[in-house]
Amino acid sequence: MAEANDNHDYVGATPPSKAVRTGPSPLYRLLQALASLRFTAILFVLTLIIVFFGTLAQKRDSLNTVLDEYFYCWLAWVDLNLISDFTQVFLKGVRLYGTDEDPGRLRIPFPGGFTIGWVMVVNLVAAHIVRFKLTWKRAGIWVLHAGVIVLLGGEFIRANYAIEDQMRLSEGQSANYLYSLDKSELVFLRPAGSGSDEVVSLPGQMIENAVGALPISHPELPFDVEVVQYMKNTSDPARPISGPVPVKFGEKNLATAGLGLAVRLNAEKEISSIKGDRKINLPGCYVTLREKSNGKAIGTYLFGTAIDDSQPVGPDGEWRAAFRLKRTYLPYSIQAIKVERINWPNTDKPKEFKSTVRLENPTTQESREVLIEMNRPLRYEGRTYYQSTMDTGGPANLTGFQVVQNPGSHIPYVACTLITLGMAFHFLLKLIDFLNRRARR
Amino acid sequence: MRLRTPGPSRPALRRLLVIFVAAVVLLAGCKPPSEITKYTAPHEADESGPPPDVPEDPVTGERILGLIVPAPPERGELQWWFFKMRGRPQAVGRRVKPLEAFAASLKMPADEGMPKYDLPSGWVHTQASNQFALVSIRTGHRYTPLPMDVSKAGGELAANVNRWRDQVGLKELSADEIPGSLREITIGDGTKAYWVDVSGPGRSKPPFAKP
Repeated sequence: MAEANDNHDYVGATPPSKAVRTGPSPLYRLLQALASLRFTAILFVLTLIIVFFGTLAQKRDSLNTVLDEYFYCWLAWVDLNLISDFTQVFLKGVRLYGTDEDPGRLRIPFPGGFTIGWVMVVNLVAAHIVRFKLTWKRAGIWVLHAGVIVLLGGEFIRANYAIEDQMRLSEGQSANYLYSLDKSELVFLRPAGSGSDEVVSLPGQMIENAVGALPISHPELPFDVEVVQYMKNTSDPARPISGPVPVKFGEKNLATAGLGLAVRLNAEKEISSIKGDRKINLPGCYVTLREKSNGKAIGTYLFGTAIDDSQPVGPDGEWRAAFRLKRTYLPYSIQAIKVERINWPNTDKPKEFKSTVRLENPTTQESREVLIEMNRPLRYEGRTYYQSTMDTGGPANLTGFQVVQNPGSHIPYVACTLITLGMAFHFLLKLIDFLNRRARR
Repeated sequence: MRLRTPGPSRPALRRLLVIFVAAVVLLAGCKPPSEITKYTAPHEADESGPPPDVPEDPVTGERILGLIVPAPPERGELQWWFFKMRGRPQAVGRRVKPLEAFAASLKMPADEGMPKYDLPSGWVHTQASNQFALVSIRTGHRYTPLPMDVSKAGGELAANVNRWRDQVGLKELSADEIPGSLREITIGDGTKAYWVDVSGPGRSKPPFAKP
């Protein structure tokens, strides 16, 4: 019998060339970990928690804010104090934090919607690699799960690439731009000849982040911009018409130039998605414009999306500036020809809203009338125009279109089809199996 | 029977959770930064009007500036066209020159129609600002409009002028004193009209308040 030598621990003359693997590879072990059903359960619990808090958050914040802070992000900051808003329904006066007048926020970091969604996809794919066999019996499950992955992927595409804007026209009016409901911009304009303006745009988010910081300086900007105050919203949904109010003589005023000498905007609470009554946040700001050469202050101006007009800025009046809802200019224009609200006979209840518009595109030489009504939108050049709002009670009929650009618009249909086919196939196989077993007895 | 599900060991799960949290923290910074952009857009005319009027000390009182133009009598009663604006003294003072240009273009109608005139730069028609005005003309910035109301009414000249004087807190004048307080001008069609410019402390109480 061969024996171990004193100089080595292997039996025989030649050493083994490689160590023999006794278990699965590290990659497979990682896949096993990722495919864990315990992990799936944890992810479902995380989903429940983020949906619960995201739903409660809409009591205080606008829908777009909640989507950005809870779902369309990798890291969410969940406000635990929302539990107090929930328990108020059952236990009045009992709060975890803050008071009814000043509830405050108690935020903790939490995986955001993107993180939970993508980890769920990885968990599902890993589970299929590790546990699921590719057989006809499991085909329904494969198709069903593929549909779920497509649905999650489609929502990710929508979150990152879909754009929703608005267009609002009075009868007879024409417009060649859309405006965003949740993004704003501070623009500086000057004539560029041939009926056009040169526009330099600072995103509203940049203005909000620059409060109290060093002035924003950029080669394209005509002035350095120092943000003195930013107001997330200046419109009160409880008031039918919001907007600038006159400055009283002797009243403390941040503005030293421009329109802000005569009017001011009040900082209001952010409009929540449940109390907004279709109103939107209208942000405003006080900014000090400084000369680029020496940093000398030109003046502190009031700007706001509630203020319709641009105002001259700077010493020589070459530039005008405005803070407005972010615009997207189109290569074509739409004119509202006829705006109609049709009520049910002998009632005030609306039956139909329809707008006849004229679409003019000089690039394609198009000029045609189109009818846009509920359930019959206009689809043109990658955008879909839905009849969204209408106001026929004023001096001019007003029509509003929600304009959606979503490269993933068909993905939910594909996903639901896959899920339905997968479930139908799987249940059909189970049914056949059951009937066969009954027949054999 | 205890249900056992396949899964990794506890240390493997702990390692996985650490990787998960680290990935979340790293990805949290993954947001495209905001950018300043430059583009060309169609020119939009500025319809806001002249520069806004800054607030004035209420102790400066109020001022009424306007025109009173005779119209053909109706049913034997004198009739007048009134073009009247009312506000703080400095703000109204800035409208003197534009109103002179307005008066120079003013032409009275031959019959029941409205007078014709050219609007000075920055002045625009708006909805009537009160129940007595037939039309109003915004003479200032959109947010400090200081409308000029166009209306037609009867009565004696002295009574109408004293009504305006009372609105700015001035005492009434007798019929003999009224012509001296007005300026006669000639409007665009050669009609003689009265230029009214009165300033006073303002009316601290409404007319129906008890003295």
